[in-house]
Amino acid sequence: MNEQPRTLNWIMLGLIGLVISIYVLFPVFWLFLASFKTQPELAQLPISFWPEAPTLEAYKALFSPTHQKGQLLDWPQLIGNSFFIAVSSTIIVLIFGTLAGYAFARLNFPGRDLILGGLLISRMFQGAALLLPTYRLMSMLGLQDSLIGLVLLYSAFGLPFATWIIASSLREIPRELEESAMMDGASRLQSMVMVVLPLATPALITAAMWHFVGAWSEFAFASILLESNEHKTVTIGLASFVELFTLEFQYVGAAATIVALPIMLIFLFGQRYFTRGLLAGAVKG
Amino acid sequence: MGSVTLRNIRKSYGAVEVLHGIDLDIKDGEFTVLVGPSGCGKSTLLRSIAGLETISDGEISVDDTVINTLVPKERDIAMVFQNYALYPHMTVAKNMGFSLRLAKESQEEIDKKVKAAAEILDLNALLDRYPRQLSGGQRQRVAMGRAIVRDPKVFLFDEPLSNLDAKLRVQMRSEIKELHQRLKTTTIYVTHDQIEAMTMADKIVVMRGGHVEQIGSPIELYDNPASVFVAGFIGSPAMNFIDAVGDGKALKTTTQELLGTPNATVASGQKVIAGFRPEDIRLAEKGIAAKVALIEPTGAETQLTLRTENEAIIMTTRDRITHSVGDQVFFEVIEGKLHCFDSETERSLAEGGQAQ
Repeated sequence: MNEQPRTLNWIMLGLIGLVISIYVLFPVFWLFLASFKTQPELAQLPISFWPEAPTLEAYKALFSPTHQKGQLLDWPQLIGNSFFIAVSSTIIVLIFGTLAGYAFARLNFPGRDLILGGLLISRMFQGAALLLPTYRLMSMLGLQDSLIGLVLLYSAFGLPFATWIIASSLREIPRELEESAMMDGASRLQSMVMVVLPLATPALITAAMWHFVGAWSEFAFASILLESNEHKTVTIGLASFVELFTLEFQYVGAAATIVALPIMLIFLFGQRYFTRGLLAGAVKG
Repeated sequence: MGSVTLRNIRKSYGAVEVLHGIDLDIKDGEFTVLVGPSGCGKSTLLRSIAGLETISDGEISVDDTVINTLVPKERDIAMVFQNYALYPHMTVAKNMGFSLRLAKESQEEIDKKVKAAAEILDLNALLDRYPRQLSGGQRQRVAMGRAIVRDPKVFLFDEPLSNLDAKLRVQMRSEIKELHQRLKTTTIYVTHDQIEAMTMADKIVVMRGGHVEQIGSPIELYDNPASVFVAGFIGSPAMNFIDAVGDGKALKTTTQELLGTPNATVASGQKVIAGFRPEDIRLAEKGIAAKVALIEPTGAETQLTLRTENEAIIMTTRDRITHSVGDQVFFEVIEGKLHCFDSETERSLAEGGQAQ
């Protein structure tokens, strides 16, 4: 009956979505294409859209550590540093976020809701406002220019939100399941690990993805805290590339693509968990 | 073995006491039903026995071992929850074998026991399914299976049938009772449904406001209710209650109509509450005058609502009714079926009615 207007609606929505996607993704795509072009092609007029002779030269250059204009940019090292920081702080955030989230969801202690709300307040500060105090603090602790320092810092920044996501998802898991596990002979820890956490997987994955992406792409704190070249991260490397190669844009394109790759992969594979985790509790399932 | 003894169980949430000293003896193998309206403390009592709630005072023992300080896993008690509480991420077999896995039994042993339990509950074909793929009745059976694989000393059921539709409820009721007759494991079953209590129990514990109102077999409670509350709670349709006055050995209504001789000695002029069940009255040539207000045939029997000057009286009869609404009739209480209760305390005035 009303099949036709409905189809029309879908087509309209699809078109709008397409336009928005192109608008948002075009610069990214442009950069991606640039990474396969040669220096002369980038400089020529009229501008070519598709690479005329696609080449991996820029990527090869990226992975052969060379002195570029007097500055050493060791991309394997940068990537390794970023991975170390993002993975370690994600693990820390997951472990403590889960324990804290469980406590907030299940245990009764005075001031529980107040503290849980307070956790979110820490998210309300503009990061830039914390730059200077954080720098002072980290210097006092002797943690400036150290990967461990950044791991601790990112974990501290990431924990409140992770705790909050995990706590709200654990609240949705019926208490009876745990009680049932305890009647079956489980300790509290066993019931948490064997019954509660498997059911909270979407929330755990969401928290992990959220944190990993944040840690992987963080720039401001990394740039003021890390000084020596061997400690720098991909975002710093990318920033210096933009400064270094104003003409050789293919290098910037290649670097940006590599930095974006893990994030794209994470969203590609984690998408269904990501939306489910963030929406947990929105409706009764 | 699994006899359960409760002594002076008290439970408070802050300043509010919800269990006011419960005493109860359950023999090994007995099917005991805790019944009462919501908020009477029956679930709290059950959860205290399970170890999911701590008690404020008193003693819970199983086979003469005091267990109230033990955590649930050390009590050797299994529980079936109202919403089944099946682990959604485990198959039926895994759900049923979970307790054995925690007890570190060998996989071989687990498989054997799960299979045996599945056999009893007719779950063999469903062992590889997940809970979400099961119907309500099947979930209920898995929840029971999870309890029986452990062969515990005591089974606890917390309103296990309240999520099922009426027909399935009747069927599961029989299944649980059959299961009990087969396994003979001490069972404590909580429900607010008096029919469930009547049909399943060896022993019913009627609770109200954190107190035990009466303990007895279903027929004892039905025939000799200790209070107006129990009399009204057990039996459907409920017992009729009217104000009455002692007159010699008999009871009269407040409008001086003769009700009959009660099951207790009443002083002349003593004000009491008279009670009689709908099936214990019959239409007669003379007696208490009433008008037929409503006729509800259910096939096997017919329910009549009779309106006297002051009250509406429910009567059920297996006779075919020739009266129609508005007719003037007379009814009498069948001899020996007239209960009477103290109008102040609402306790039964019959011999033994003061007990409990």
